Amino acid sequence: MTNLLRIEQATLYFGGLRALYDVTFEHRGDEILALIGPNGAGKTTLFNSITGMYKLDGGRIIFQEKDISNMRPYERVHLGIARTFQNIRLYSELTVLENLLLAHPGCNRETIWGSLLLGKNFRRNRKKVVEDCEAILELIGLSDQATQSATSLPYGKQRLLEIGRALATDPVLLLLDEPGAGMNTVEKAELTSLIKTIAKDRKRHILLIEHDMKFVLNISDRIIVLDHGEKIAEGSPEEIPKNEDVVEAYLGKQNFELYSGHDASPANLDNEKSIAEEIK
Amino acid sequence: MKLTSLWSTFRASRNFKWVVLAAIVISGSLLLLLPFITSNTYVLHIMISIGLYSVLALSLNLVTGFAGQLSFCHIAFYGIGAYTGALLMLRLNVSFWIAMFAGAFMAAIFGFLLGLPTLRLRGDYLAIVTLGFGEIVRLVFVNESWLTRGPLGLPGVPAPVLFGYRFSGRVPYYYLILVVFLITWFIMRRLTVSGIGLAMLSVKSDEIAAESVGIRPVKYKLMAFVISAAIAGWVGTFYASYIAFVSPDTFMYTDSITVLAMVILGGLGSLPGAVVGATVLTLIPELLRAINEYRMVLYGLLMIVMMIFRPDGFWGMRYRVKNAYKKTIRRVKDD
Repeated sequence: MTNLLRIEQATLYFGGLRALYDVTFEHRGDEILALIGPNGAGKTTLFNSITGMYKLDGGRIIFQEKDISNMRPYERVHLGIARTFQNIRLYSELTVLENLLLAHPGCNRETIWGSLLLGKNFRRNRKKVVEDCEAILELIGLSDQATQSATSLPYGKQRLLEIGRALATDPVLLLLDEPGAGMNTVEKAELTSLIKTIAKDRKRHILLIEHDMKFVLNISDRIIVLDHGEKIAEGSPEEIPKNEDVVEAYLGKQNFELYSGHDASPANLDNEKSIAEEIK
Repeated sequence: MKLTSLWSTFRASRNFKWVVLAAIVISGSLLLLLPFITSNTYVLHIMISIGLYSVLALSLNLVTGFAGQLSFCHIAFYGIGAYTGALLMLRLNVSFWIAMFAGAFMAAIFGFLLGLPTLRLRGDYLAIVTLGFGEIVRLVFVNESWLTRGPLGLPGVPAPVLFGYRFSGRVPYYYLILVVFLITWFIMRRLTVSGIGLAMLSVKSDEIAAESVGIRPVKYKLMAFVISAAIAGWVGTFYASYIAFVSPDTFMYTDSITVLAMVILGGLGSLPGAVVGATVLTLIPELLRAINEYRMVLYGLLMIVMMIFRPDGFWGMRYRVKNAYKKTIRRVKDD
């Protein structure tokens, strides 16, 4: 069976802290796979391992049948893995368009002699780079802001620009780290349709992290749940909310001995969450 | 802030193109005709110094302003170029024009050798290494006296000969540095608006983000380092021939810091900024000669005032041409 991305028994320690332990799953391609889990579950750590910012202490990462566990981040980008960041990392000195340009492989391949001489073919290549990036701006709806400074954009648009920049690298697999964080309901609805467009029309495979359950259940084809660095569940958006382990990871175990007669209606969920944290 | 908005209004106005064109034509012809306007050798010497330091500042700007690496050894590359050129001309009777490129080549090699292992270091660590490298180079000039005659220096570096004409006086050197300056400007301009320039800027502001879009930071840091060293070495040979003498005490780390100050004061990541910085910091010590003992005090004061009120320099990055990359393809026809 060929998978797009296969994580095999990924294990990572930060000193004594076990950030990832024996995580195994695969991205089958042609699907929107979501990675969820409570705070500190290891989602972003896993992302950083897939993109090469962290090296695993154990296990392997296989991308398109190639072991990429020991590759540098930029090499993985060249293979077709692009990401966005949870805490936005745009270039504030550069314009919106330039933030995309520098990610484009055609722009990265420019040579010293080519840039000095500016030959015909070189400029034609440059023209294609600009057109590609302008098409992406069109897609994410930022064409009118092309000459603005990237960080002068409102927060939600900066997130879109991050997605655009990742797209500009012409990825096979797109990793989105909390793309909807800090967005309002309207923006989130737009984001959902954008991600679906990217997956279907632009044929990119997507792996995303998200906290907003409604958003995740709406967008993803399959969900992986992490807790304390371990995979605790995997399934469709229909199965996951019913999975007991997942509910327990998010809400804590119901302790009937301590709170007998306590009913688990949604109104008490918040209360229960804080109790669960106290017990921990 | 007000100045920036004034600038953008001016930039957007229809007259902008004509004003800039007029300014370039007027200042260009003034520069071209300067030797006919004044034959004062002092004025010409100052102009040559400004040209020389502009070239140094422009090249260092690639490393510090674009690739974001703090380098304290720029003068060492300049010195390597000067010594290489001078030795070739004195010992082997090599023509100045060939020696110039040999100087550039030698400096580039040293830039590469220094950069390869050290550019993985970050910020302050790299700064310390470059500081050390600058000192090592100077000490080699001092101690390897079989080659460099040590502290005595190398006198009598020959003047360039162009089509049978041997350079003498300031005027031909003035024109030569003008040409060197224009070539450097052209190279920097083309490089900084290219994908290479964008990649360097991305490495400067966020290496992690740069790597995550497929940019290899070390490659661009090294590229900036080598190109910048080559240009410094190139103009170093010019200097050796112009002064007709090289000695180790011309290449002190304080001179590296002066060049760095020019880049920062002018505006990191801005070509006009580097030239403005070089001009101001060359002129000020000269203008303040009258109050000799307070000269350095005022010089320091200017730096402090600048950093408080205009931290991004006289002509910082905010005045850069937006989307210059796209503007280079305006003349490409559709296929």
